[in-house]
Amino acid sequence: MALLDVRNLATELATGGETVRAVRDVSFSIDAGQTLGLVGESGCGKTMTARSVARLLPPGGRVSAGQVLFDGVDLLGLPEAAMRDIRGHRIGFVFQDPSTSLNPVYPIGMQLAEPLRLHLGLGRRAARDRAVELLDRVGIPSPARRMDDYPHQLSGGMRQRVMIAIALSCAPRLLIADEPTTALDVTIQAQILELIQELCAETGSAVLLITHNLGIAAGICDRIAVMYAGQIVETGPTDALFYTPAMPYSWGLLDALPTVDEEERLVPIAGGPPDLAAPLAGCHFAPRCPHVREVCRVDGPPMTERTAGHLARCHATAPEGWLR
Amino acid sequence: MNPLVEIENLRVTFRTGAALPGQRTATLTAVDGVSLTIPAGATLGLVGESGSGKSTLGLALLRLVPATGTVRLAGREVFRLPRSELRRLRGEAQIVFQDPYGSLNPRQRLGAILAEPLAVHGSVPRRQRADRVRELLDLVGLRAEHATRYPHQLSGGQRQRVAIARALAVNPSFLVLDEPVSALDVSIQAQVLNLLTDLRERLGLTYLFVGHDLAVVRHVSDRIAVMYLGRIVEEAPARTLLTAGAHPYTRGLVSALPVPDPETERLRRRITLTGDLPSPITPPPGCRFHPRCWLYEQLGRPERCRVSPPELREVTPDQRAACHFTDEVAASPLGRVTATATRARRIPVPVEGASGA
Repeated sequence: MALLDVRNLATELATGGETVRAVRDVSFSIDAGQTLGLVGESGCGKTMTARSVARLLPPGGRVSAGQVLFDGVDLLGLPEAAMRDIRGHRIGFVFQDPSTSLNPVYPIGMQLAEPLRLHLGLGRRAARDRAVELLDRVGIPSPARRMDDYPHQLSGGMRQRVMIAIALSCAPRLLIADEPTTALDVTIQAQILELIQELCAETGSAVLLITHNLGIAAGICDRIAVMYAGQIVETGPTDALFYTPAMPYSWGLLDALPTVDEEERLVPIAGGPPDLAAPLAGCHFAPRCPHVREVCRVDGPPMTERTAGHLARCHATAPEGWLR
Repeated sequence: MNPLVEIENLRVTFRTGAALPGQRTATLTAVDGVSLTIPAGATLGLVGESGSGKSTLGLALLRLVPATGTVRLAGREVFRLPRSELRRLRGEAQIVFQDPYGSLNPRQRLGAILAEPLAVHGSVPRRQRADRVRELLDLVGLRAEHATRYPHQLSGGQRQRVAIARALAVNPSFLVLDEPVSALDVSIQAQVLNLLTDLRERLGLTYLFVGHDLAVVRHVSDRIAVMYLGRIVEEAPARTLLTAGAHPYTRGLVSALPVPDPETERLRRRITLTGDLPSPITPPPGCRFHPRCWLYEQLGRPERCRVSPPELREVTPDQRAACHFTDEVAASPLGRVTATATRARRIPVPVEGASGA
């Protein structure tokens, strides 16, 4: 059984009189210890998907359909108290911006000790000792002295290390990391990614990694799901996605990316993503797709299998399609 | 080729602190003795981490922050121009900023945004301005009817096109591009990068392209300069810098860059630079990079690195680096892009005669 099994998830977001259908019929699963990359551009719904899983939607947000099975239990049906016991305990979180996800008025040691006391029932002294160990483990120099520092006294990279220490303090089954390195410089990014991989291997945590960076996804994910306009449009093992992509948006993203060893002209994807508040017919990518045919504009393609475990939402690359 | 831009010993300092009574002030040297040249028609890429001084350098070239040293633009000394001549300088050198949301006036229509530099510089008579605005919109791939829109009605990529059009309104020969695509999504980023490449060809422009993503910077640049704590640590042709960087920091940057190729990611050995960028207020003595340097550790922490700051010197006739141990760097296989393509990507192609439902 998969550790996390998201089935037909749909999430809406009411903003200023409009309803944005941010997540539309999203299904994916993650096995224990596995890393799944949820990849896509801004506004594609990847963050809303993760927030739906954790039931941490912003005001106006609501899950309108679907199931989120975590260890076989539907999180969407749990009472809030039970959900609180899962967050920070069974599911850990690392968000993009460590300067806003840490509480600025409490010392980091206290923030680190909180889940240990709450979820693991450690006493004050034991929690503090464990917190020092954790800070040391995530590479904070002189951890005992740093315990009483406030978040503003740390650099961005150090704050993200603290976030990781908090997220993994209770050895969660699942870590949700939403753009964990986007706010950081590239050398610090490399340190943080290495740390996440190392620690999750130790705790056996599975990872749902949300990123817009295909390079990062290539480096650390076992499987990848590409999102576009609220839907997963392709999913499969990392190699399948990079070497035999089966959805024009996926290879469009890869072609648009400047790489260090090629001089060729970039091939951008024409146009921009659709407005998710407006009704959409057919394949959401059809207006930008160079291989579009009439059927695409009318009929939204289902996710169908290409090779084992490799699925794509595309008429053109389906067995009876016009791309081979 | 003649250099269009010559920078000699550029220095920019800021006073920090003293925002609160009793706080001590300190001097932060953001750009510390930088010398670079950019040939006419070429693009120099400038990379570094946040706080390295790369954006400040761009601003200083246009006299947008106080600086010392010499900057010559088409032979004229920028810092010696009387105030009255500054407008002429702005006519020759313009800047495009990172954030197209913050750099366009939300209350102005695009037509007004683009007409303003024409009016300020008096370069185009009033009656012809509407034509010129249309021409500019066309130049950056927008339609004439966009002139009546407001910035919030545009996507990020379109806004950045407007910012580029505005910079081009006065027919400059030199553009400072300060992280012009960093705020954009991948598919849009490629559109803007291609636009910048085309404009350079068509209008014979010269660019300073400031960025933090080596893959992006490499794509548009002829040469790349790497900045660390206010100093240039290496400067070389773009390709050389990535395949045979002569400074340990350059190698570290190349190594830290995620590559969108699973096989490469699996096979490569990485250098992970430890620690954070030190404070530019109290830079480390000797070589500023030594506390994070992998080679310094590998060589058993030689005293020289801690004591004497390395000069930027020629390593090969085309490559300059500021490191005492460039031979040792050259011998290391780490942090180089190797051209050996691993697995090729197979993209589906149209099949003859397929009806496609």
